[in-house]
Amino acid sequence: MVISHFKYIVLFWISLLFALIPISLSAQDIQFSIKVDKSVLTLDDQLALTLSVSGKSKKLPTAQLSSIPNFDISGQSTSQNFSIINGATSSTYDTRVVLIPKKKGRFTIGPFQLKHEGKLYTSNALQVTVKNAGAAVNPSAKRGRGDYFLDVIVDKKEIYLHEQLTLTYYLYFKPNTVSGLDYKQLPATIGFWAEELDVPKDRAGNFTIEGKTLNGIGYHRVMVKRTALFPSTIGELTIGSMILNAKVRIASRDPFDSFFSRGRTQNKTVRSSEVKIHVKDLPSSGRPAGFKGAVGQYRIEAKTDKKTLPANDAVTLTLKISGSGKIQNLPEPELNLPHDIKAYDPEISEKIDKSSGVIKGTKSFEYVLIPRFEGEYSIDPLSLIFFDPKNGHYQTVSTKSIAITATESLTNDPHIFISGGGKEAIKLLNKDIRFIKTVSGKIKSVSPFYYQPWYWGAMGSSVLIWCGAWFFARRRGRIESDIGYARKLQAARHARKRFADATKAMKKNESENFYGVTAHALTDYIADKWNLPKASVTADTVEEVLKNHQMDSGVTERIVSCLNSCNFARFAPSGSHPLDEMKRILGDARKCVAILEKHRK
Amino acid sequence: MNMQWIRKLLLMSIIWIATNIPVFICAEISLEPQPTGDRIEQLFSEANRAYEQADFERAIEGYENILNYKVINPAVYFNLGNSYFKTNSLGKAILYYEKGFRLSPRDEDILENLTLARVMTVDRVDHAVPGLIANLLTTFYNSFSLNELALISLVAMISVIVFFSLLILTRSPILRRSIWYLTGFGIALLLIFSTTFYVKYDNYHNQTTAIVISPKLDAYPAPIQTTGDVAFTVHEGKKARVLQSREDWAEIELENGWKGWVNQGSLDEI
Repeated sequence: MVISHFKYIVLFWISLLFALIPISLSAQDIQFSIKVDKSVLTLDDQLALTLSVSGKSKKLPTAQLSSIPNFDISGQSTSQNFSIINGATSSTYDTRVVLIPKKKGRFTIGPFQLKHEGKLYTSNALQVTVKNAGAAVNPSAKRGRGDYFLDVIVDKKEIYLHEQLTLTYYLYFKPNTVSGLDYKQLPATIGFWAEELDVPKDRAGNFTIEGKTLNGIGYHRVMVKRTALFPSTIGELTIGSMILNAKVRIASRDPFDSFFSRGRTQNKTVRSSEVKIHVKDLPSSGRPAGFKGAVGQYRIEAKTDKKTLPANDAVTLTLKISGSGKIQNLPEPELNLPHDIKAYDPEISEKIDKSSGVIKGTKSFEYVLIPRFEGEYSIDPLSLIFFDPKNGHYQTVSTKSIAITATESLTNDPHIFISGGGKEAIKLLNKDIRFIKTVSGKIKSVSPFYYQPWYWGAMGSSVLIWCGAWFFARRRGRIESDIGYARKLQAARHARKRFADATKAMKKNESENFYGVTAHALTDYIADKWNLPKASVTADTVEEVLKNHQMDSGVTERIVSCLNSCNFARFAPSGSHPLDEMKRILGDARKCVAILEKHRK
Repeated sequence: MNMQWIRKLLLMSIIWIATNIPVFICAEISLEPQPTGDRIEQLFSEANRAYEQADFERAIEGYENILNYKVINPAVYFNLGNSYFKTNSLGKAILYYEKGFRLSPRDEDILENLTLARVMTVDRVDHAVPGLIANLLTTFYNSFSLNELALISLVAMISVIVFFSLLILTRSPILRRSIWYLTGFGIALLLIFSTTFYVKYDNYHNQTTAIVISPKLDAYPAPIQTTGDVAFTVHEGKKARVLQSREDWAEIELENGWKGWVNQGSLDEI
């Protein structure tokens, strides 16, 4: 009794507990708020945004930010606080997000939303004003301000299409040392083809720091990036600003403190201003017809590795274009060869030198030429037309014409000359063709199969195989599901088997057996054919069965008489059974089955 | 149970082989030439002997004679191509190598001599470097002759039908599953090879490709010979597609898309 009561009490408490859980859950409220460290900041400053989630539960969600308009997210960190007041636990999750402003203006941060256990919590919103770094953009004003800034220098503001522009970024800093740089955003150079140049570094790979005095204030400066740009479109182009995160070590003012530590490290975000470039089109006046877009200063020279050679031998023509400009994009000069000189596609190689801050180099074209007949050949001067942005004129440089003398060919075969392929072809020529084939046995004629009857016959018969399989499967299915059909199909076969047994019995002169088997052959056949119980077909009932199936009376009579004579002979007490009689009855029975087999009803 | 399964599988393979054997027998029989006795073999060995004695003119005569018997055989084409090559008829040599290549595309002798002959032609062919997939497709396309493609397609067709038939006849689940896989494989094979066959058949029979056999051939913009109006010049051994022909003229198209009318007698169809 007590035990069963105890059970009820436990059940009561458990159900009460379950009933209370939803209530206690709904009592858990969450506060979601945000705050910033300052409401006014400059473009090269950074903003610390704190998202706080607090509540009484231990399982609090943490707020995560993926993006925020007008700001770049520089880093996120979370911290947790617990406090127990009067036995009630409350905790706070803080997510600290460092934001870098993208542009100036007055922005609203938030409200943010947080979803927790199906409920949506909305935070407060804040106003933040982003001001320009300093009052104006021009560098002189910039220099008057701040201990850190990123300065950008372009060598010219107005350039020609495909002319080189050099973009240099300097990080200025005054009192402290910079221990690390983090490129947050590289300048966007849309419309330019950019080639990165080296910045001066010492042997250990550190940036070279130099002293620089601006407006009477001493700075350190570091060249952090240098890029060669070649504009590929005309008009006003804008080079985006670069954002750099500098790790700065700030020395402590407390002498005691500095004795023990080297100060603390702080992140400083600096942003360069954007640069506008005006790109001029190449002048259309005085543009030569064969100009293919080369801009810069170039020289051109050509030479051959030999002046005299036998016909059908190879000579290498090397064409070198060197100078400053976009070497990689230099067009291949047009090679006008005498008709009887064969040429391969040139092998093109480039050597680029970027060390001076100007892209320089050499582009070489190596042609393999083969004079086909003996005689004097002259290779026309090769020329390159380029635009020189320094003086603003088009210029043409040319090689001298080269004379080649071909002596008598060393090979007798006039066909041994080469085309296409490249250098592999020369190797191939040293080989003879493969020797003729011999055939042992019959030489078979490879006639096309697909024109021959057997091919299409085979295609057709494969379809027949399919038809056969399909019919077979269908018949098998019917045999399995329809007993009547199965019996009817096998009726004739069973009868034939019986007749064979009867013949055996006849030969052994087992007359009784013979008549029995013959009679059964007939009656079983009829039973199978119309799916009747075997016992129901006897000599007495057979007439009615046949009549039901619209059998001719003549045939019926014949079957009945055949059965009767079998039965008579079988049950006759004695008597001779002549072989002729047996043969006649067997023949008769066979005939009857054959007639019945043709009868379709 | 397991033994029974193996027996069924064995039976299946026997059915499959038995249905395909007639195809191979027919293919083999259809390769037999018309009854000409040993005449062709005699001509062939005579021509080979002439070639070995460097009497290439006589060798050419002998091989051409064999071709007159309507014999289509890669070895004859190859040897005839070699003989023409040795008599500096580069165009004819390429023509017969190409014919041999069509019949026996994986024959290394033919491939090498054809490459060598092509290298010696005057006209430079600018090959576009194909991508990986295009390269694979071309390799596959070039690896089978039309007869092989036709035969494989037929065997795949019969196999698919046999497998399908077995599928409706058999009841063993394991066997049915393996037959399903085989059927899928067969259908894939059938599709790939019959498509390739169709493309190749179209290329070989519905389009005419010819080789330039005269040393230099001027192409004109219209089928009229006017001096100084030459559209372009091609040289011996160049392959071109024949678009149409009119009297003595044929309009050809080169690989780079250039079209022009040339004298038909300077071309020979592959």
